[in-house]
Amino acid sequence: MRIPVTFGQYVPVASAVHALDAKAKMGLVAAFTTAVFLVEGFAGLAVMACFVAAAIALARVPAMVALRGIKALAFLLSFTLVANAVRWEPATVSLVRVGPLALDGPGILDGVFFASRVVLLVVGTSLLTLTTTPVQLTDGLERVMRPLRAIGVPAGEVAMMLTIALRFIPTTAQEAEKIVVAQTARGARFDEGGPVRRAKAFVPVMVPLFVNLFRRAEELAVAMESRCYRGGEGRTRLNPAVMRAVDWAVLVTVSTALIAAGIAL
Amino acid sequence: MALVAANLCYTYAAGTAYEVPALLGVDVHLECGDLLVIAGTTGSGKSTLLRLLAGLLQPSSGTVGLDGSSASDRRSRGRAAMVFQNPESQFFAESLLADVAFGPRNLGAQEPARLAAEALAAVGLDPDTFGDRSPFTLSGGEARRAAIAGALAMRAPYLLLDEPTAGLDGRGRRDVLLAIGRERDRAGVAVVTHDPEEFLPSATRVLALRAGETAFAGSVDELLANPSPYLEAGLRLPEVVMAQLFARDRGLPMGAIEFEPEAAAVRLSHARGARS
Amino acid sequence: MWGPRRMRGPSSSEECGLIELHEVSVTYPGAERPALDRVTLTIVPGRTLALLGPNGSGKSTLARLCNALLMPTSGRVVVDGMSTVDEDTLWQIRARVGFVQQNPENQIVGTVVEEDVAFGPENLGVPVQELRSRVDDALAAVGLTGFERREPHLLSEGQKQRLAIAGALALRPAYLVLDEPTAMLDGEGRSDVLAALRRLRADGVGIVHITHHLEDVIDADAVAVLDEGTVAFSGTPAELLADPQAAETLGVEVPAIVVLAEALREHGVPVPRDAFTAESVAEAVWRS
Repeated sequence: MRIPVTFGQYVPVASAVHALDAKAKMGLVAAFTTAVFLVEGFAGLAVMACFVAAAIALARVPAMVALRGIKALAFLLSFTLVANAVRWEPATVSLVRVGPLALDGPGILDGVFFASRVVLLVVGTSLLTLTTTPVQLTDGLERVMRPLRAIGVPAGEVAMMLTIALRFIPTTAQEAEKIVVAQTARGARFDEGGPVRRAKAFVPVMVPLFVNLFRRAEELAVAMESRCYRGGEGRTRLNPAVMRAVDWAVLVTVSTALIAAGIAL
Repeated sequence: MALVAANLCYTYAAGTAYEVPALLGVDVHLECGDLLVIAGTTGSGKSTLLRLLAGLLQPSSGTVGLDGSSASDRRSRGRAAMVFQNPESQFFAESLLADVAFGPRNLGAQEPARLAAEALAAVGLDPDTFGDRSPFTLSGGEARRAAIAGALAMRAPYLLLDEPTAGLDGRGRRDVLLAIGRERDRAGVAVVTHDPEEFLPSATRVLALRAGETAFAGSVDELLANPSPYLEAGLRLPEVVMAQLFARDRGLPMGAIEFEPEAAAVRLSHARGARS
Repeated sequence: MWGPRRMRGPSSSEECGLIELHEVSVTYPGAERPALDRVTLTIVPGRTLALLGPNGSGKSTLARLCNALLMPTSGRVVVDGMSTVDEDTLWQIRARVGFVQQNPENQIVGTVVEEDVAFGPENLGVPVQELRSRVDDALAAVGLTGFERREPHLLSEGQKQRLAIAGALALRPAYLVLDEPTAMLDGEGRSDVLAALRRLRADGVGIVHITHHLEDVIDADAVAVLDEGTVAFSGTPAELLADPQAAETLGVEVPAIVVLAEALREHGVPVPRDAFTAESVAEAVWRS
């Protein structure tokens, strides 16, 4: 049973955005986020929306995939809208009044503004994980965190832990499945009873899984020490991700444009 | 009273781009007292077949019947006990007795603890000494036997084991073989293995698979009379048996083929004497 | 390709490329008896030492002494002139002695094959250009060329174990210690791993092969059988099998074919002492 497992949201397609260095993309996300918060009106939001649309098109990612994250936000968005649109005994004129609660024109506009901002942030930042593999992200994160080593952040070790976690996700998933099947063969049922009973039913799965994970960690540690791992210092990389001129160019120009737009609009 | 499978077919991820046909029409017949050895190389479909027999998978086509009812029927629940590869990685309880009693308890047995104690005794682990121990403190061979006891405690009329001796040393393998042999008194046993050598001497029937199809099905005597289909499926016979087969091919008048080296030596030296 | 010819030793007094265990004892904290009791052994490049014995006889402990994962309670372990208790040479020893465990899955660190093989030399700060050639050489040595971008969980068990060996080889070790490398593999995986080990021995790597399967190491240069922490037998496989009953009492699983050959000899059939396969035994019977 060798079904390939794709982790997270990475969409394996060749595009200009995919080809950009992960660090450049992280920088762009930071600039984009800043710009979105700087924007003060709908005109500015519209500009940011155009930017996101252009990025999605350049990334050659299906629009439906890119917009998938919005569904999960439905509750948050409705809450934002309502919280802003409904006022308690406002002094100003309102559209509709029901007792002490009033639906208020400017409030609705505020609600829409803030909700739109959330949507833009989520879609914009998801472009990072859609176009960058987890390994590239981890490597980029390590490089970006490196200056923090001066204040004691173990950037190399954190990156190594993330890499190992990523490496073992498909393996652990396979193992969990095997354990579930084995306990099912012993008559265990996972779909009976209320929430407490169902939670307890997973003990025969979680315990062996964790025991195996600890054993795995021990053997892996022996393997890593045997292969001369002694922390993140002084390690070279087989496929180092280097910022090329084009990466810098895109990062600087697009970031500047975004921030300028944010300030202006 | 038998476990009967007719024309079993199974395709993984059917209908998707990752479709993989694993079984292409296999028959099985298992009764109390049988030891069926299902042999095949990696990818031959043997583990898939076992899961189908246990009712854990639904066949793409064909039927699996347990004493008249379908294997996936409610009535069949607990009638086929299965032991997976490396079953000791499924321990979860604080005491061995509690872990082994898990199966019978789930099936609503009257006295799960008693069944668990009997099962532990059946695999050679004294319940008084081992019952209270944590399953995580057992040695490799002990753990394997304890995990098998977990299936035995279910008292199912059919026992299905996937590679029960893999990864054990000589003593561990012998202990497991003994435990399996004892179960034949009250159950039909099917063993899946990529290395059938140690099971052949006591097997009642051999089913060799090759790329999802039956390469050979018959008794051990039939296998030894014509070993080609079995060998062509990529499987090995014990070296002692192969030596006698080579001698027979050369023209030495071999009688029955022996599995035990001493008995084989007697046959070979007699055949050598008879030739001249 | 591999081995001492390519090694540049750290000390000039590396007159003997050897792993020497001299009167080594190991007692684990809280244990009643020593896991190893005054063991003396030598491991030579280009030769395979098979290490047999029942579970608990001290084989794994001995393996871990060779690459300084474990320190002896008494006695000393010296690798190419470097003592394992010396902190300054610890990583040189680890790079000199590769270590492969039983479970292939739990030795793989990288998210794709080539990244995992590169892990060892990356730790040593080997420059990027050389990293690539080391990865290519290591994969070629185990027959996994072409698998560079494959994800580990999509490999067969035998392929995973060969990947683990490649990961050790990327450090260009002079020695390779393998603790039951084929225990969790089926027939095909096992023969692929054994073939790779034979090639490595021919290339000059000194191999310590711990196993329960005497058939796997029947062509080893030397065999040591451990029993409760001491060396109960030391010699060649042929010498060990010259007396199968004695071997059995030592806890060695004597292959049935050897028992057959011995029984035939007792019946007056002249079977040569080095006949370990079905073909050779049948041949001997036919010709007699």
